[in-house]
Amino acid sequence: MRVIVADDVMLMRAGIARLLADAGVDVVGEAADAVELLRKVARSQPDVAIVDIRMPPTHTDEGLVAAGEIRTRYPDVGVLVLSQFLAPTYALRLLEEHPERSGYLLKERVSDIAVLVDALGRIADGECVLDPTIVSRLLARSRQQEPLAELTGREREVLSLMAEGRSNAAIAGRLFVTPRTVEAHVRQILGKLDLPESPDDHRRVLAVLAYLRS
Amino acid sequence: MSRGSVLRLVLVPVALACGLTAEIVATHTGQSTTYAGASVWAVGLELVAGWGLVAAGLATWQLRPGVTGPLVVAAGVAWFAPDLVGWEGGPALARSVGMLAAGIWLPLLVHAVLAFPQRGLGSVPARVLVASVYAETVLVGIGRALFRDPFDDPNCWSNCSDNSFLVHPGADIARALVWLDLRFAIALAAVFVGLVALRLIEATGPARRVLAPVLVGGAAVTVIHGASAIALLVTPLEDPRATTFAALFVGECLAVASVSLALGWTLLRARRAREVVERLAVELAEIPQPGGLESALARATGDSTLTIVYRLRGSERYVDSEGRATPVPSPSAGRAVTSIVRDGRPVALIEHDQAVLDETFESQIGSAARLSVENERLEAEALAQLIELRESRARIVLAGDEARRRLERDLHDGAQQRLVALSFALRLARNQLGAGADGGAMDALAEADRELAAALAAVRGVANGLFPATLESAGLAAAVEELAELSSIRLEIEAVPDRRLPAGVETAAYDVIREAVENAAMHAEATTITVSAVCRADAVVVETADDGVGGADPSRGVGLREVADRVGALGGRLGVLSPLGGGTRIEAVIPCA
Repeated sequence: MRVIVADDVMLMRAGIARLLADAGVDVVGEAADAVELLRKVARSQPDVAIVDIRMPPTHTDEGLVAAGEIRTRYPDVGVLVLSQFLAPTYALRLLEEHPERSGYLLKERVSDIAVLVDALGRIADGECVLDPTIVSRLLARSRQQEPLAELTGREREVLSLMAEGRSNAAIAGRLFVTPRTVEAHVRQILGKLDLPESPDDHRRVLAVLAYLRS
Repeated sequence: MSRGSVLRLVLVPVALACGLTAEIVATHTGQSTTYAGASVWAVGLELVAGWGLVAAGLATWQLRPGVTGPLVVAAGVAWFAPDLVGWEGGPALARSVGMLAAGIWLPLLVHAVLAFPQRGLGSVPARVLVASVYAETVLVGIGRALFRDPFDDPNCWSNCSDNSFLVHPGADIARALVWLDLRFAIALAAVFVGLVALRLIEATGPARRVLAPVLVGGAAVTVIHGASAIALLVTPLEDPRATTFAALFVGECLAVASVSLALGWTLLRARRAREVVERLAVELAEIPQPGGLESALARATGDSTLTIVYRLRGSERYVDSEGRATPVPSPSAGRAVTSIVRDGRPVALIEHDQAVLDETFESQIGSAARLSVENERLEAEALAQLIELRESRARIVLAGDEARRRLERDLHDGAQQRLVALSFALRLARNQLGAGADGGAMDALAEADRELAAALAAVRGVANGLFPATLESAGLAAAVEELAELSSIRLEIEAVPDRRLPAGVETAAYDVIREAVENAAMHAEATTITVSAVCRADAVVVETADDGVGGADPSRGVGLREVADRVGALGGRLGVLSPLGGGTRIEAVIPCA
């Protein structure tokens, strides 16, 4: 898998690149700002670009804007936005605009290289990725506590994994159950929460997130 | 009754008598020797011009200082002298005196016009001109009285028989005097018009409006007089029944009358200004509200668009009655600016319709009005200082925010990033040690990793406490959401504006909410706090309510006081309602102009 790492802090860039190389990921480029990132993406067409949300010049959401641009201009290139913002605002903005091949992880997550590599793999496969911490907080703080309380423990686990952007097959693999069992759980959950069934995983993620936010 | 008033009273019948005598003479024996005798229209015009001068002169004399009034009265009386000259069969002495006095009204009027409205003539050219007109008139008058024998004059018309003062008949001298007189009249017209033009150009707007009518009237008189001289150069024999001369006479009467009218108009204007001042005194007798002077002046003048601004002591800056900085008003079309002066410097400027106040206003306003101008100016100054203070308070708060923001960024870009990089290095080290490595080393690395994570969390906490990065990057809504994520109690967000607000407002609103949440969590034993922030027309209203034990006292808690200060610095206010056992409600109104 070929990736580009964009972060304005050289130590971070180099650290992530080394960790990834160590885990067998092919880092084909590094960029210190959005302009350089876009140029290198255009040249080397990586599978995924890892983008820090805060980049020069204003250090607010330049990374997010660059990620959106990459998704629009190069449909085959995925983006993984690294952020220190716990608030789900930015994550939802990214996923609502580009639910395919997009991911949003909290920056602290990246030192756990397995999570990072897993996320990169899922994005390269066309899925979307949402940080589990954000999902669990969304679940905990949702105003829909009454319907959520009707879910069984296993159903809540499945709902969390759905919200993180995982497919039924991935959920099955993670919970060590058959895909058919997962499908049954999903149907149950959607029924209890009064959400429409959707064959499209991306739309399902968005519906779940919108539900948790409402 | 003053001596001047008695004199003026006496002059009224004198002037009436002069006019009546002149017209009786003209209409009875002067049909061909006077202009008034030539037609009944001329009688009327001559009376209007002469008596008009007397009336305007008397009024000016009464109401204005200076020589203009007496001079105009004298000119008005002397105006009738030429009719005496044409008294066919009348006493020789009367006709001779009439001849001597016939030309004197012109220098009197020229003097009067140039002396208006000051006490003196002012410029050197004006003095020289007036002196030379007097000198020429006296020279020609006396010269003709002494040397002109009417019998010898081929061009005589008004009096061809009598000269009681003749000492030596000298036709050459008499001709020379006529030659001089006509050319001088033409020169006078030219010089006078030039002088008037110069004065009008030099005068400022309001002064020009007062001067212009009188000066232009005077100029018209000299111009017509000059034109008559040209007519006499062409046709030496003056005939009041000839069209040219009759027309010139009519023109001269009208020009003289215009001077009277101009003087009268000026007096009326001044009177209106005095009335304004009197009304103002009445208005100010009521206890004035702050800013009441402007409305009092507006009512007194009837100009509702009038504004008054005050100069700040020791500067050239002006403020309105509420202390707001205003540009220095300047005169424009139809608008004039009148200054109120104290110790030689303007303390206030009144911008008004140019018709409602004139330049006499400043000299006429009484001590009561001056006192209230000064009061109001002091009040405006105090308000201006208050505004300045508030602005500097807001600037200090914003500067503090900026410093916090910079620190947060430095922390984020420096320590925080290095710690994360260090965690990568540790991770690499663990990877490279591999699965088969010494358990003790692996444990030590894992311990280091945990410590590092704690350090990172601590640094992140400090950075976030300094200035929440989310607030700067994503705005209030996201920052409050994040606060909800991080807080230990349940945060119900009812409404928070999604759009970005001015940085200072966002920070203040966020600080109010954060303080409320921290209080609720740490002191009030609350389990839930509801938060709302709503954008009104010109302010953000932040409200929080928790279900804790209440009893929060903003005068004792440092945090609440700081937040109240911060809100106050932006011109807002913070209210805390916290009865014991009844939860705590906080409401902050933060202006976002």
